[in-house]
Amino acid sequence: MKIERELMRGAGPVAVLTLLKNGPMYGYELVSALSECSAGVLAMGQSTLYPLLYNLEAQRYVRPQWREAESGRRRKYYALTAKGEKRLAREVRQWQAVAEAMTTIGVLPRPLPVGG
Amino acid sequence: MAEKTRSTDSRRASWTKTIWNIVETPITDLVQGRINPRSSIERRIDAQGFPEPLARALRLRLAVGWRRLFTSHRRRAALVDTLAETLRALAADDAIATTVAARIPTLLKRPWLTSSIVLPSPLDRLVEQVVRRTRLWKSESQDVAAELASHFSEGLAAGESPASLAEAFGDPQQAARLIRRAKLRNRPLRHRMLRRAMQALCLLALAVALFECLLIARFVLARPTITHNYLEDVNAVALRVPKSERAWPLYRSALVKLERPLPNWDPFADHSEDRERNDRKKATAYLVRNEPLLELVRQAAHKPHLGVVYGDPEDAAWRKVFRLKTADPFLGSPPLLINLGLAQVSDLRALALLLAADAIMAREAQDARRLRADVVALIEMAEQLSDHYPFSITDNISFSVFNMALKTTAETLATAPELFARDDLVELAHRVSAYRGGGRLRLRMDGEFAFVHDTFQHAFTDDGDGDGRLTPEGVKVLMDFPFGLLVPFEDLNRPQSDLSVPLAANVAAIVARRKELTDLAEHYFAEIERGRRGPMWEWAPIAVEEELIALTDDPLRRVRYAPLVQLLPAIESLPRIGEFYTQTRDALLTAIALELFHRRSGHWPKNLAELAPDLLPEVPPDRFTGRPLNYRVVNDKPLLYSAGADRDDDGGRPTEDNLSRFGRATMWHIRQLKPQKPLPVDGDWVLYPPVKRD
Repeated sequence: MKIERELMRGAGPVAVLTLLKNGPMYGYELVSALSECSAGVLAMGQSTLYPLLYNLEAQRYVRPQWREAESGRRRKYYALTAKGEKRLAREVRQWQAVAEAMTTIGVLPRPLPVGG
Repeated sequence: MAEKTRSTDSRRASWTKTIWNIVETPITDLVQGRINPRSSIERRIDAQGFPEPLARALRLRLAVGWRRLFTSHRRRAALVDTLAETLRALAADDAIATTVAARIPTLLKRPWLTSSIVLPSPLDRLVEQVVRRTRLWKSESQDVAAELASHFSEGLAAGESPASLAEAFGDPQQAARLIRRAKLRNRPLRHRMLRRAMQALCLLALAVALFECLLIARFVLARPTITHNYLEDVNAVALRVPKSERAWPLYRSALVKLERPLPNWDPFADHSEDRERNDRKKATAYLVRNEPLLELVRQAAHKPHLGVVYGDPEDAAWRKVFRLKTADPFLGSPPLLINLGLAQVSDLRALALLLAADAIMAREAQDARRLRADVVALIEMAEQLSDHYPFSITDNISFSVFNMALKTTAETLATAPELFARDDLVELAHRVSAYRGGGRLRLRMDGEFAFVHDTFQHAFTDDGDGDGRLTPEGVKVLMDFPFGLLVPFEDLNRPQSDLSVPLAANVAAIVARRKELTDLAEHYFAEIERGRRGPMWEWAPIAVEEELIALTDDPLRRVRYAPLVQLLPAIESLPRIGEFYTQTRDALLTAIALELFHRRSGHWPKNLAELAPDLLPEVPPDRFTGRPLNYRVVNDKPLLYSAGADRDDDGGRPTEDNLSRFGRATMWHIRQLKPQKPLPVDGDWVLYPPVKRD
C-alpha cells in the first residue's frame, strides 16, 4: 500500500530511529529492514532514505561511521545517539497518543482483551 | 658547481611539479580541447590494444562513471600509457588484468575508490549523475559517492539485479536535491550562516536591481507636457507698446556700438588707491570717446517704455557681443523662461553705470547740464525697467539703477549743491517721489511664479491634476541652470557634466513631485507676503524664513527640493530690499528738502517737522523703529540716519563697516554663502551725507 508522503514524512524518521535502537545499521540494511519489518508499507527508495539519514545526522540523532565488513566491502554504519534516543522516545509517545485518539474515535479498531 | 646545478635542477623540478599539480584539474580537459574526456580516454585505451579484460576494467575505472569526476584527464591518460608500456611484455591473462585493475585506485592515489566496488555501467552512471547534481564540496561528494556505491555493491552481492537496484533508487534528480539539502544542513554553522547571508545579499541585490530597472524604465519613459507659453506673457507687456515708444532698440544700438570691454570702474567706490585712480583715468577717457553713444542712451531713457521683446530677430547683432556665452535661450518650443537670462536687463545696468560715472565726471567738471541729464536719465531708465514683466530680478535692477540716481544726487548735494538750481531740485524731488507711484517700494514676486510654473512644465510630467514626476528633460534643465542647480554653490562656475541615466533616475526619484513643490512655492510666497505686508518696523521673525534656510542645510533635502532651492533664491530677503530703497529714497527727498530750506532761510531747521508740509509731505519714518527719521546738524551739516538693525539710536555713529552696498547696520538676517559677523551690528545706518564704500 502506498502511504501518503506527508504520513511517510512523519513515520520515516521514527521507523529508522527505532531500527537503529537495536544497533548500528548501514544503508542497504536499513532499506531491507524497513521493507521486511513493515511488510512493504514503510519501504522507501535510496533517494528517500539517504537524505533522511543525512537529516538525522545533521540533527545529531545518528552518528555515521565507515567500517570494513568481513567481505572487504566498506560500509557506512549509522548508530543512534543519546539525543536520538530522546527524540525517539518523544516520537513514540506522540504516536501512542495519536493511536489512542484514533482508536477512541473509531478510526483504529480496539484491541481484543487479553486472557479470560 | 655541480652541487649548485643539482640544487637548481631540484628547485626547477619542484616548481614544475607544483605547476602541474595546479594545472592538473578536470578544467584543463576543456582548456586542452578535450571536450569529451571520456571518449578520449576510451580511444586511448582502445588504441593501446589491451587484452579485453584489462581494457574493460580500465574503461570502467577511467572512462565512465563517477570516479572520473575526481581524477584529471592527464593522470588517467598517463596511467593508461604506463600500463600499456608495462603490460606489453606480459601475457594476456585475466588474473593479471584483475590484479592490475584492483591496484588502480592506489595508483590513482584515490584509496577510497576500493577495488571491491565494481559497479555495472548503469549503476555507475546513476551514482555519477546523482553526485554531480548535488553540487556539493568535493569531500562531501566523495562521501556520498562512496556510500551510494557501497549500497549498490551490497545489493549486487545480495543477488539483486542492476535494473532493480536502479529502479528502487528513485528519481536521481530528486535524490540529488534532497541529498544536497540534507548535506548542507551538516555543514558548520559558520558556513550555513554565511550561505544564508550570501543568499540574502543576492536576493537583496536582485531586488535592488529589479527596483533600479523599474526606476530607470519609469524615468526614461517620463515626458513633460508643455501647455503654456510663458514667454508670450512676458513679451505681451512690450508688444502692447508701439515701436516708436520702445527704448530698447536705441539701447541695443548703443550697446552694439560701444567699445568693448566696458570700463572696469565703480563710480561709487573710494578712489584713494592708485589702482582706482588708474581705472578712473581709463574710464574718463572711455566716456569722452563714447559721448555720442551716451547721448543715445539718454535719448532712449526718455522713451516711455522699455519695450524688450525676447526672441526678437533684430537682437541678433547685440547677442553676438553679449558678454555671457549662453546657448540660444530660444531653443525648444516654447522656450524655457529661465534660460532667457534677462541679458538685456543686465546690460541696461551696465549702461546705467556708465551714466553714473559720466554724472560724476560732469560734477567734477562743474557741468550742471550734463549732470542733471545723467541723473534724470537714470531715473527714467529705472522707471522703464519697472515697466518690464514683474520679475524680482528686473525690479532689483530697477532699484539698483534708481539708487545710482539717488547716490549721485546725494553726493552732489553734499559736495557741490550749487550745481543744482532750485528748479532742478524741485524737479528731481518730484521725479524721485513719483518713481513707481511713490509709497513703499516693493519687489514684485509675480514673475517668480512664471519661472516656477514654466520650469515645472518643462521638467515634470503632468497627470492633469498639477502633479507629476521629474523627467530626463527635467534633469537636464536642472543641470543646465545658469546657477548650477544640483551642485554645491562653490562649484557654480565649473562646467557640469551630464548625469548618467541610472544616477539621473535615482536623483529623479529623490526629487519631490511637482504638486508638492508647487504647493511649497505658493506657501512660501503667501507666507512672505502675509508676514511682510506691513512696514519693516512691524516685522517679526516668520517661520517661513527658517523653512527656506532649512531647504539648503540638509544635503538630501537640497536634492529633494532642488528646483525650489534654485528658483527661489533668498526670496525671504526680497521684502527687505524694498525697505532699503524706500528708506534711501526718503532720505534723499528729506536731504533735498533740507537743502531747499537752507537756501530759503539760510540755516538748517531744528527738526524735520519744519520741512512739512511745504517741502516734504510728511516726515518720513525710520523704517527700523517707526519713529521719525533721525536728524542732527553736525559741523553745520545736516546728518540723516536710521537707528539701524539694533534699533538703538547711537547719535548717528555709523557701524564699523557701514560701507557695503546695503550696510551692515541694515541687515536683518541674511543668508550668505560664507559665515559672517553676528548681527545686528552696533551703530546707526547713516543715510545722508553718503558714506563711501570700501
